[in-house]
Amino acid sequence: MRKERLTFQVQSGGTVSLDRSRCPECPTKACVDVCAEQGGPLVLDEARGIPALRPDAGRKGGVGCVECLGCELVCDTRGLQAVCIALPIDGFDHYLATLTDPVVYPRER
Amino acid sequence: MARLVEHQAKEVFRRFGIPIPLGRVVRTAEEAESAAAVVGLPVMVKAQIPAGKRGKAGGIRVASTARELSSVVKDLLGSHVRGLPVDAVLIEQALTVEGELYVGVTADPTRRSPSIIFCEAGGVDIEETARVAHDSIWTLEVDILRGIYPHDVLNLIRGSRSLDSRQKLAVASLVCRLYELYRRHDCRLAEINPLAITADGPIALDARVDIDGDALERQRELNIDIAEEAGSRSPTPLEEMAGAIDERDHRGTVHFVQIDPDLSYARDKGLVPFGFDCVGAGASLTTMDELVPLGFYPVNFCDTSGNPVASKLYRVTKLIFSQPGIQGYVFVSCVSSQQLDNTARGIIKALKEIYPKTGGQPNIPSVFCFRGAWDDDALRLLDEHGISKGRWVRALGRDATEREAAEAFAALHSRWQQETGGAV
Repeated sequence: MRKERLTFQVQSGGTVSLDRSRCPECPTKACVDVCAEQGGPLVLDEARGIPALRPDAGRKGGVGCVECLGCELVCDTRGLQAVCIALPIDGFDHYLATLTDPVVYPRER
Repeated sequence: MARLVEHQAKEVFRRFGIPIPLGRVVRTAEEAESAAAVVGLPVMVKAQIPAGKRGKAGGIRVASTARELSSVVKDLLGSHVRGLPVDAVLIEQALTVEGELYVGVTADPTRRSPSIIFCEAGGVDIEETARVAHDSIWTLEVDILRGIYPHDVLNLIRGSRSLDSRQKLAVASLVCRLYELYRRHDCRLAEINPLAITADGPIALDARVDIDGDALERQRELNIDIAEEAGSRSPTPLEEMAGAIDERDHRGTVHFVQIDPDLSYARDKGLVPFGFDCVGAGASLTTMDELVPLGFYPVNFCDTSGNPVASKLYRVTKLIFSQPGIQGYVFVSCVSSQQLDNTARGIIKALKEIYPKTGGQPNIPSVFCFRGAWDDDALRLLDEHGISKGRWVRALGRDATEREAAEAFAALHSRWQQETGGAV
């Protein structure tokens, strides 16, 4: 059984994850186009109609992701919300939890 | 630049064989009592803050008895000296000194080389001495390929009238070790002021070691929190997090400093605090120049340059928006080769996470001024993701000046305040 989730690490510390079970139904495959524009590692697996890593990705350590975030954003607007990029900031959650004055963004107006 | 506090610098001195007084760092009065038992009364009690002129500010005191020690330590711990919080003090033996000198090694940008500085008047403000008695300061340019030898230093200090020949030899040897430390740890400054002359030889009563900010990555053993230079204070948690953004990734840079971390300056001056991000430090300054006269104050400086990857913009945007009390956000780019579509993607992803219920539209006045390479794409992306349609958002393009961006922000803020009350 082939893996439907494609996950890879990025240089700055984080993970790009594609839920490829949604991709066959995607009418645009726009993530692949955006990645190609940036010289990134995603290509279209023509046979299966889903994004895949370029065959040479990873040969020099790392898959060659340029961290443009384009795949996630374009999948949000033109695809099926199958891409998730997690970019942790060490200590950030603790910082928010220990603030005495709340940050402004929880306010809803 | 990262400035080590005195006890950290003295630990480095000790490793390089530079004599220091016996001492202990303590954080409670009880620990101070134990330290004094080891060191022996009388002791010096020294506030551990990354700032000079501590003596004049009451941060260095003498304690001759146990009761006095307890009182001084309790007085200093938790207080502020030169505006900096004191959470540790150094308990150090009080020495009998015969004289005090100044010695330092610094980077001399005019000569493009390290420079040894020697002055017979130690324990004083060396900048002031340089101003009023320039001849009393002796310097020696160092060829870094050759290094220095004790006879070079002896030649420099040969005219000293306060040192005998034995003391000159000891000082020359010590200066060579200070230079070795300076080079080994990529310092911008390694300074001993004062260097006490005692019956047992020269001893560093104070220690200052400033590390070049660009070299922090290879000075891990010093255990310094990597952050942008923020004057004399310690980095804030947000600055430390921002400092880590470039740590593993050298594709473009992020420079983030909190100018007014607790908003106290903005409040005192009656200015409106806002979060700020610019592409290019020059654009940042000119935009600040336009915004401050209109009644606004940037609580942070941020420059994202060198074409950073979008993930850097994402991270720093989250940090900027997490500053409590900000009443707006301004982004302005200078016209450069920076790929602004990537810049926009980083900002958009951050906003979508910060404001999930509005699809990324901020709840505070926000101006985005994209000017430069791929600026049209950046504006198109803001539009596609619905950010620029936000009620409190104004997106501007390459025709906008810094003044227009500032005026757009002022108008937006005024309307926001009228309609929402402005409370955040």
